Formats: sequence, structure tokens, C-alpha cells
Amino acid sequence: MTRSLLALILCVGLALAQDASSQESIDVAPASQALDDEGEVVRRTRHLTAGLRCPVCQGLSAADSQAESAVAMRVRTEDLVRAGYSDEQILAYFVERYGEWVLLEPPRQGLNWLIWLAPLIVLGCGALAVAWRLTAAPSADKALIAGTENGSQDRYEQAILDELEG
Amino acid sequence: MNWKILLPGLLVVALLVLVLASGFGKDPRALPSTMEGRPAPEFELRTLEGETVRLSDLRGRPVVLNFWSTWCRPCVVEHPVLQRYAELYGPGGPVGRDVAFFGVLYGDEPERAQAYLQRVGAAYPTLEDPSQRVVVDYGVGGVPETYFISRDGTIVSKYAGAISAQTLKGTLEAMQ
Repeated sequence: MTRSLLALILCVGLALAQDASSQESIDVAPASQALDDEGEVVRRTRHLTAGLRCPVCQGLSAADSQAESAVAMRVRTEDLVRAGYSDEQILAYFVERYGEWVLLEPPRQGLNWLIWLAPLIVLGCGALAVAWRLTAAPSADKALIAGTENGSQDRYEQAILDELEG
Repeated sequence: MNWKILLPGLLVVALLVLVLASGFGKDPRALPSTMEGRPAPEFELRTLEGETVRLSDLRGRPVVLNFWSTWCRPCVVEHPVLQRYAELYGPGGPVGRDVAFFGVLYGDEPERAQAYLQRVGAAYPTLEDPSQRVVVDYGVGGVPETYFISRDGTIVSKYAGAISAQTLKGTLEAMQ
């Protein structure tokens, strides 16, 4: 009897939990309590949407575009900020729906590190090449000077001298 | 010819050409779909006629959600195709699949949509999404976009752009 009652309570509980989750389109609970500081809501919405790509624009953020979808993203972001969701939760919500593509800055993980480090690697290679040239050049000059001091003459110089003498 | 300099230079140029060729070969507006295979986000919206529709109430029936607007040319182009297949696959249709077709209005005035539908005909209801929350919940980038939801509430397919009769029929047939 007790077992049956417990099973029934568990079933009802599970059914209610499933129903509650299906009612909410974002499937995680807000990280904190609802936010009622209007200035903070505006600041965080602006900050978050500045990092989200407007889906129908070329290289514009959701904060800077007046396209329908960008406006919808701003409104949804504001709702989520107000409901107490953290920045990470809100960005994860958008990535889940639009893919990582929606982030204007690719996250610093996995192969994405290549994008972040490539300019530094190229810069380093350039610096090394310049340094190598600078250290190699003086020795070549020295060899030239040494050659002149030894009395050996350039073959063009010799040709001119021969011409003048001849 | 100094091959020591030329070879690394050619290698760098070849790499750049490869990267640029693959990048320019893609359509910048073709969005990757991450929603396929995921549970369809729940919604509760009103039709243009004022009836409330909840997605969870449609569980057990295949659902077709078409995001559209009157100002979108491809939406106007695909409308007759959707109309035709809603009549064929919808409740009481000859195919007998009981597919629930819904339009979702995207960035448009309900009055304008109503006037348009009166003019061209409406075989299925259109839902209003005044806050455009459902638009973002489904990851809609632009219109038209059509989502196919299976009987168990999973998004099985998403189509961006004006859907053809062939694609629509194929997807409807593949839906269980």
C-alpha cells in the first residue's frame, strides 16, 4: 500500500516536472533572482547583444541593427536578463538556437584558439625574420670591407680602370 | 631564382587562396540549423482569429510551423504550396495524416496579415507572436522558415527559404 502510494506520488511529481519544463522554452532555471534595476537591465542587454550577430545582417551586432530579428533578439535578451538569467546562460541559450555562429567573437576553446593565436604567431615569425636579417647583414658588410682592405678589387672597377688605361 | 624564399611564399599564398575559396563559396545568409533533433520549444500563442494554441496540446500530431510575413516575397511565393499540402495532409485531408499546419507571423501587423489571407485564402491558422519570443526560441533568422515537428514534439527538419512542393511533400512523407 505504502509502496503504491509512493509510486503514485513519484509519477505525479515527474509528470508535473515534465509539464513545468515544457512550458518554459529555456530549459534551465535562472542563476539568480529576477532583476528589477532598470539601469542594470539596459546595460547588460546592450553588452550581451553587442556580442551577438544579427542573423540577417552582414557583420552587424544585434545591438546595432534595426532588422526584425535583431529587435526580437534584443527583446528576448532583455526578458532573460530581467528574469535573472546570467550572461553565460543567455549566451548559451542563443548558441543552442543559432549555433556558435551567433557569437561575434568565437569562444576561446578548441580549434578556435587558432583564430586568436594566428596573428601573434605571424607577428612572431615576422619579428624573427627581421632579427635574423639584422644580425646576418653586418657580417656580410664586414666581409666586403675585409675584401677591400686586402686589396682585391671589384671586377667592374677593374674593367673601368682597364678602359681608362687602354 | 631564390627557391628558399619563393617556396614558403607560395605555400602561404596557396593556404590563403584555399581559406578564401572555401569562405567565399558559402552563402553568408545560409544559417546552420542547430534545432534539428531537439525538442520543439513550447509556446502558447493566439491565432489571428483569437483562439489560443499550445504546442503541448498538439502532441501526438505532426506539426508544420511556417514563419512568414506579408512583406516577404518568398513567403508569398510559397503560400500556395503550403495551402495545397495543408489541404492534403491536414485534418480531414485525403492523405489522412492529420498534420497540424500553422503560420507564425514575423514582424508584421496582424490586420495586414488578415487582409492578405482573406485575399489569397487560408487553409490553416496563423499565430500572432507579438513579443517575437517564439521567433527567437526557434532560432529563426529570417522569413520564410518552416519547421517540421514530429508527433513526439521533436524538430525533425527546418527549411529556410521558399519551400517547393517536392521538398514539402518529401518531408511530410518522411515524418512519422
